[in-house]
Amino acid sequence: MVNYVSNEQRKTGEEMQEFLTEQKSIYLQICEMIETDILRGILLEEERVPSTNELARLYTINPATAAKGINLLVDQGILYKKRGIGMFVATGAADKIRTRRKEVFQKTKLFQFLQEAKSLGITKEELVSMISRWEEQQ
Amino acid sequence: MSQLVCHGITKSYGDKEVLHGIDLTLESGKIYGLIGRNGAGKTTLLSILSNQNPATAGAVTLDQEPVWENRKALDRLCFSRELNISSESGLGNYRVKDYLRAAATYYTHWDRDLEKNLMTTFGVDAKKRLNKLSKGMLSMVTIIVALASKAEFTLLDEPVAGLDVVAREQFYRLLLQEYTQTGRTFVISTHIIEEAADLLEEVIILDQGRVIRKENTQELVGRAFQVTGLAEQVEAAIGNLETHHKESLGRSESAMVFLQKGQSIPEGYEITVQPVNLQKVFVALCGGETQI
Amino acid sequence: MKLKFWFQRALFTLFGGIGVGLLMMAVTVIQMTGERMSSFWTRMPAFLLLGSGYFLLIMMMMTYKVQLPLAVSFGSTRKESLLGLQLIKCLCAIGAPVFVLGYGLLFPEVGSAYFPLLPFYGAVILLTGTVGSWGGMAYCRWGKLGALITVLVIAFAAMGLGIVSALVFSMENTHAWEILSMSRTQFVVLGISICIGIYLLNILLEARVLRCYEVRM
Repeated sequence: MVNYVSNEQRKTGEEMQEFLTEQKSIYLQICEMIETDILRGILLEEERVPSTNELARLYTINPATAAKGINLLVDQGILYKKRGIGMFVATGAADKIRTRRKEVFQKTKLFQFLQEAKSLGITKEELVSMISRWEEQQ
Repeated sequence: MSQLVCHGITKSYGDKEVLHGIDLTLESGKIYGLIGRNGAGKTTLLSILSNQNPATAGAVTLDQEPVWENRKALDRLCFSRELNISSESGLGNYRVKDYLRAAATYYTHWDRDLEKNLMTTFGVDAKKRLNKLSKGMLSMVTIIVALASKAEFTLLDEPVAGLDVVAREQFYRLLLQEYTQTGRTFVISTHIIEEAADLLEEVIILDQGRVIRKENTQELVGRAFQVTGLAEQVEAAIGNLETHHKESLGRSESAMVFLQKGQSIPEGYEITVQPVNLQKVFVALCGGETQI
Repeated sequence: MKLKFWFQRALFTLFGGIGVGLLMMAVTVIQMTGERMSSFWTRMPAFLLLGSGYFLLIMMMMTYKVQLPLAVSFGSTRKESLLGLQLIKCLCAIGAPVFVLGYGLLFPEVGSAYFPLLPFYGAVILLTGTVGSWGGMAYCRWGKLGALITVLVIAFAAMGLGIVSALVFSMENTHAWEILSMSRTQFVVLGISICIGIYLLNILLEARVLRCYEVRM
């Protein structure tokens, strides 16, 4: 099989990172950071998000790249544009993000996790008991 | 939109041709990165773009007007050269403030306030002579000239050479601030590729006097992948793709592939496909092939 | 046309030259005893002219080495720089005699003797500047060693010329113009014409050197 260590880590639903790291398209990272801010209530619905220029200066990236990230979120209906004012968080954005991330989790993260378990010979029962033990420790 | 264009620029020193017929279009409102190995011809190209050196053949135009000896075009250009002060160079006796005053007499839109702010930000002593400054401090002076010139097209040659990491960050921020406020065009040559990669809208890769790539940075990096695996598997998988920089170690092989639009790495092979960064792309394109 | 930078440079060269003249004078004054002091004030214009010429020579060489690349790197056209180089030479050639003129008008008893030859002194300063340019151009073309050799060659040539003419003119206590069977005025005009002629020819040479000038810093 072709083992993709993908650039598009959004598909894998990896742990969110608060700073920009290498090896991952910068505009996807911008997307993720804004999404995470929305999920955490740092950005509220119907609130203005930082402009591309503000994001560019904050993360020292090219404004065109920041704009690409913002546009991706607009396409997904998470942000919307108010002419002459800026970008705003759409109503229901947090739910939308959560739903999509769950989907991603199920489709890719869980899949990879189960693949790894399978290759190590971990049975379903063992897995379940591992999860219960983890819950007890929490 | 304004355009600074190279039409078939060739440059020879004696018998040695250092630039081979370069065609290049720089559009206003972008930050360009000019990267290339030592001796690739970066400084020569920037010098020719800015009327500082004559081309052996070809011409540079700014909005269809030749730049050569053209006062009107030169008023819109600034190439802040890398300052290499040797002990015998007379320039070394210039004080920083005199150097900046001289610059101010030529740059029509010189911003004195910005100059002062930058002097404070970088902590450059205006009274010091250039030959008493460290390499990093000299870089700061060239950065100050470039930013305060307010020129529409601003070229910078190795602005971060010798700067410590804090000063480099400062420079990147100042550059973005200036860029987002004014939309000036910047062309920046640098060897510290990864740090600057995210700043650059487009990257121009110069190799042995030729422009081998000029592309949106994100797109270029986005279509480059490192493929590794058993040599036969890798060979079979990348057979039809644009490949650079193959390396082999025992039975394993690694190669960098560039996917064209619509291309993908074929399924069904035991290989690992990894994304790469701009620096790796650069090394793959300009580093030649190596056997370990 | 942007000539501010060159104009500043020209003013610096003129006043620097006057300064050097005053300095040379000060050094001489220290060595002078009472009775010779009277001749000192008569000699003052000579110091000013000498200082100006000397300083201009050095400055022209320096300018090629330092200010020319600087100006072109800041976006000066080569044409502007060529004009700037003439500005420096001409301002000094006119400025220094004008100072002497002012001095002579203020103190006619010691200064007015210089008046008839002021245009000639101006022309000689112009020639000195031209020689400085040669050194500068030699530096551009052949580097430091080239400049040194050129200046030495010119210095020896000038010295030789000086010795020969001194020998010739000291014969029979005659004057140079008499040997050349000219009037004194004709001789002076000839001298001025030669200086200006060499200067003008040199502009062509400088234009040629500057036409493809490359900034190397």
